[in-house]
Amino acid sequence: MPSRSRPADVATTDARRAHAARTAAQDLLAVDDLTIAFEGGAGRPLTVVEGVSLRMSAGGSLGLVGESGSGKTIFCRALLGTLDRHGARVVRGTLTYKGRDFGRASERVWRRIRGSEIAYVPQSSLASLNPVLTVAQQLTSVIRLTEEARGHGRTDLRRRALALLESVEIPRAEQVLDQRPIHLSGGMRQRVVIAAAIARSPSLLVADEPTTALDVRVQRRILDLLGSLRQRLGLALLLVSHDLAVIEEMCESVAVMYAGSIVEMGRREQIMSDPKHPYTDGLLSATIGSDGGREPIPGEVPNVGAWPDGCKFWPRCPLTRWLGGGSPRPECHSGERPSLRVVVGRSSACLFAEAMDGRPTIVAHGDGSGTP
Amino acid sequence: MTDEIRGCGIDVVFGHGGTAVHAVKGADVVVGSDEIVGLVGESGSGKTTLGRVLAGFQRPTVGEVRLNDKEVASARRDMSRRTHREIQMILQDPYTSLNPSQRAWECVAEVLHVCHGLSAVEARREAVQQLGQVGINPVQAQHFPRQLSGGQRQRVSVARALAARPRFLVADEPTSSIDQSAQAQVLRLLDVIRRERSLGILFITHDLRVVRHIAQRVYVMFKGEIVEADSTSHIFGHPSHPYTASLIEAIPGRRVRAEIIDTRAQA
Repeated sequence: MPSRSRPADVATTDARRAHAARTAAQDLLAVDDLTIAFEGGAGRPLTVVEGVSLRMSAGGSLGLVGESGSGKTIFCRALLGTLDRHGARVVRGTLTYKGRDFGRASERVWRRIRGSEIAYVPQSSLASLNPVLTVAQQLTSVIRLTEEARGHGRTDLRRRALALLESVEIPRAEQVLDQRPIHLSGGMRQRVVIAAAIARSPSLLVADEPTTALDVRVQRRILDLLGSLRQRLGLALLLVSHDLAVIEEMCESVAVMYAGSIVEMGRREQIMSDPKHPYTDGLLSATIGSDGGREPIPGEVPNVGAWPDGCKFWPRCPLTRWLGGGSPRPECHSGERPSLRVVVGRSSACLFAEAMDGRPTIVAHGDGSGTP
Repeated sequence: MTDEIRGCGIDVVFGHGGTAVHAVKGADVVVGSDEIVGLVGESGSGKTTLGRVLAGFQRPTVGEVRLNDKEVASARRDMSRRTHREIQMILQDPYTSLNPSQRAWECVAEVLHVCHGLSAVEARREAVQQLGQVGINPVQAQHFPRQLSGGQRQRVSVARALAARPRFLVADEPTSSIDQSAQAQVLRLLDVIRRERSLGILFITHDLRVVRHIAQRVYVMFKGEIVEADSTSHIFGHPSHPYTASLIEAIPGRRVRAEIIDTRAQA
């Protein structure tokens, strides 16, 4: 167990840790109080992800949503053990996969996990495929790493690559095998990337904005494919997106990330129809909107290193202003970061989550009745 | 005076002989002032090419572009500089369309100087002020494109386009590379400038969801042809072409689709 140098609440921390260890054993993935920092140039580490805790069971699906710059991608990097390539590291907390903490594991350890246990589908399929190799060459290089492929000849590897392409529903798979990424459409390339990701039968697939650059109809097919692969292979899916509508489509649970922290987490139905954090509410208005159109969230995500005190969302929060009669409530902008607590069956980090019900129509979505 | 820009029987063919690509086939489009018109289709459907023809960046192979019933571009004639200024274009990726070595205010000031002959001092002051109108504050106006977020960059390119004081905007996928909240910001901004300046906007996108709230009319383009043209509510309520129906089916999000089905039931 990595020790944490925080004097206060040792007993509760121990109890929490014990509890975390117990439940972590049953979960596929258990992230506890994960805090990630960039090695700052001035010698001071710059926190990018702060105190993130979440759980995923085998075969489960979790959507991670938030605006650009909220820390979603760097969190994914932690799950793949590639933080150091981006000059970041885990400074606190644990990342337990199948009962073992990998938070500070070495590259050698990660090499056994990455791809074979936790696989990755990035946003840019063009950047993640090697432009000079054929699809067959790229896939067989991955297949060669699997246990079962030991001692198999070239024809056999090619046959497996073909089967993989067919499993991601690529038409004319035989032809595609001999093509290079540049010859394939965006949707086809993303299928090839997914084929490579599932080649080693991972248990967890981390998909970071897998359909963002694609046309809606292609996006639909890729989402359908991810859904059917999940079912067929019993894969757990962590889907990262800025689009709540995509997450709603694909995931049973939703975690909302803002400025490096999770501000609300719960089952899809709860989050989509009855948000208990003003940020989630804002995302819903921006994504789905109502007859009045889509309402942007005022302001911008604060830069790393310039996070405000108290609740990180207060400078943009309409709820705290409404409650404070125009100016933000002092509880929101001073003191400690509010932590997640249970509010109507899900967790929310809003101090005034209960007041969300009575709020005026700061949000344009909802049932459209516009009741204040 | 209400303005109108019209593409009449536009055909665009790239290349010759056996390898020729017929990108746009007999397209008729019209955008009036004070309206946002959606042009929806997927990659390769010819929507960008058609948009470029209207903005005068691409000469049509057949057909002509008419501004207030006067021919301004055709197979034989490039658009004049003067007209070109009237029809500005915004591109999908502001990162590649903004000059990386220019600060936000500089790229707007340049347009003010070239198009309206403002002095350097005036242009700078005016640029900062115009950036303010799209929600870029004076501090951000000093930034280079790489220091701005995707949404901010897109707003800078909107400000740059508006600096020429156009009557029409062709917006090519201006929201495709930014997150949902920034999208909502840009959509709102375009709707506001449409109203304030009686601007006509052709909004090109692959995502019907984007034009749902802001476009009064929508053209659906498929394999180079316009297969459907109607009011937005009618297109959502009663898509007549199977391709349009498949675009609506593909819209992500149960709630959005439920709402659409709801409007259909009411219709």
